[in-house]
Amino acid sequence: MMMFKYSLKKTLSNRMFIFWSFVFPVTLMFFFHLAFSTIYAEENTIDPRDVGIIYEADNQFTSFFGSVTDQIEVLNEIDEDEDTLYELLGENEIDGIYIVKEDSIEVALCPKYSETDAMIIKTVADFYIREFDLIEQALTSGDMEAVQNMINSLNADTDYMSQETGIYKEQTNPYNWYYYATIVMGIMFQAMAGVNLVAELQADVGERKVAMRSSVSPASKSVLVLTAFLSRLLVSLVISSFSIFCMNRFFEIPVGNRLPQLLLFILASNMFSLSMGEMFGLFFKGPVQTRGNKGVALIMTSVFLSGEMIATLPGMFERYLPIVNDVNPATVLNLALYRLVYYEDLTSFYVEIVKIVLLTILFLTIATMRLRRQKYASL
Amino acid sequence: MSQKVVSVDNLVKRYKELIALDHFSMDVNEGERLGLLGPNGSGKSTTINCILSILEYDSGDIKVFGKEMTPKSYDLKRLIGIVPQEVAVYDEFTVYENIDFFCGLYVKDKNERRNLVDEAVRFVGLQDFIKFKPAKLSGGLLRRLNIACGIAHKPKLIFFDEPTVAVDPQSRNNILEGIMKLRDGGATIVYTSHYMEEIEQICDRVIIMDKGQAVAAGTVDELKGMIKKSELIRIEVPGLDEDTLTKINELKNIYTVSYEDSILKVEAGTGKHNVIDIINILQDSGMRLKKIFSEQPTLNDVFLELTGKELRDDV
Repeated sequence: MMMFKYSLKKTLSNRMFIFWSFVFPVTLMFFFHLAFSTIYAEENTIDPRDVGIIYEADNQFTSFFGSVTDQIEVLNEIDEDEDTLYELLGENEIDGIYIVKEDSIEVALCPKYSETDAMIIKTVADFYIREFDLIEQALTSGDMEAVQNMINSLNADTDYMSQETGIYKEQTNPYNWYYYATIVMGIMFQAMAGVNLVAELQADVGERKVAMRSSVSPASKSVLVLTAFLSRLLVSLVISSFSIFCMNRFFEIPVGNRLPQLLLFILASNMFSLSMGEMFGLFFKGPVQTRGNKGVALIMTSVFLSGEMIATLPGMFERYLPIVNDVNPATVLNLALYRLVYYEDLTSFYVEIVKIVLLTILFLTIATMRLRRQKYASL
Repeated sequence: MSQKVVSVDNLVKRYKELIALDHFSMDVNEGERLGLLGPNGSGKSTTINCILSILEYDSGDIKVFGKEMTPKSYDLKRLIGIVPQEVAVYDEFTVYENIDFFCGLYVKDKNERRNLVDEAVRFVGLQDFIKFKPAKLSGGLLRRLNIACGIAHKPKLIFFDEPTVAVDPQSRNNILEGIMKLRDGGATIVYTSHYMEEIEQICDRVIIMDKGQAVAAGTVDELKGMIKKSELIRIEVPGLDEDTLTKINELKNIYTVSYEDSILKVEAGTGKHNVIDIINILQDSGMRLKKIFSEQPTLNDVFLELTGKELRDDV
């Protein structure tokens, strides 16, 4: 218990560790929030398509159409005569014209129409033609709730069409990727605690030679290794959880509603980072500071490739060189978190977690075997 | 006959082509203060690290308290303390916490540990600094903390590996006095240094090391007795005549006599009364003596004569 307490204190006193794993990521998220929150809101505000309606018949089919389009959020009806409407259409001032006939609707689009505009405007017309019987029935019987349900369904469809498509198969705010990448970056920086752990226990690594005192003491090396690891893991878990809490609470980035899986992600990813840090400490050459710096360089590269600076990078790799995403730890962690939040089916999330866990087991096995050794070739 | 606390026999340690320890042997007796004296790279720290079983060695036998020393000799490790060459403490902890942590590696009981830590703090005189972080301590105080961390659990055998490097004279004296007190308290001490004055001051017995070998071993007087040169006497005496010079030259233990610019210079061998004998002759001859200097040989002279080189680069 005494060793655990002191080990905990050592970790909490390590300002560089706290800075890189918590202060820096949260600060970065704050700036992302300043930069991206309004951009995305503006980009994704549904800009209503201006449309005109020309009625060429006068029956229930034509009269109900106006009632329906009034409730479609993505349409803005321009009330002008036929000539004016065509004039506006030719000048791209309006996006389209509905020509409502006795039992059909034709659509005229402006010369510079976009695919999205065309899809939205045509979808409304198709919907009305397809559902007219039901609409008519509901309106004549006064079942306004049924009408409203149909309209809501149509609104949802058109709303979906007006948004960007996400990087990885599911529709989402693409800027969220930066936040997830930042959380992962913070977790990856927990590796510094792993480097520090090696310096504390490996007599031929640390400059301060504190490990030598431990090595010549009667304290069990296995207990020392376990204590050092668990105390750092505890701090890392708290830091990561709090970072994710901040991301969700203050920057309003979704984390989904699957708490057990989220905790599993936090545990697995932090254990992975710590064990990776132990690898840095054990196998990089030079003083501890140099080993740590090499680790930081590697982490920064990994985090960059995972889309920390360019969110579309993993998407490009997925398309042209998928192996990069498969072997890059930061991308693996990012995808795990991303899929946990956005995917209905968690199979791919568990696949990423299994990758992380397997690598962690490998790293921990190597590290524990190396750290438990008590004799050195040189000091 | 006192018990052998440490026994090293034919220890060989190689770093690739370099032989760090070349069939090195030594014994440390209970209650003894043994000094390992040698220049940097002579193998002093390597010897300690091999004895402590944290450094692999190629061949040889090491026994501590009569038992073979291995990394898992936890019963033996409990009896050993180490004060390493570098200040090995945690910057994140206060003085008290550092001592408590390292003592805790040996002593689990909290109350017992508290008493031991308090005692160690008093022993090294850091009572006023217990809440200080190491970064706030001077070099001398840091060294004292380094010692406290190594001795708090009251070891029976303590290794001091050059504990006074880069320490001011006052702190050095404090440290050396502390080491003498530890021996008086019953601890056996192995002290390495390349400062011959320290070794002379505190060690009962000395092993002079060079290139991983024991060049000579014995008490300080025994070592000095191994070399030809023993004492350099200089006397300012105006108007010295040839007859008196001849009489001095004929004295027992006198190697060389010279006289220049009123300074009589005599190199003498082992003997307690060299100065007195010379003064008697000068006074019998009616000479008026002005200044008398007597320089005893140092361990550096011993090292120089045995190896052909200086013990320290800066000497």
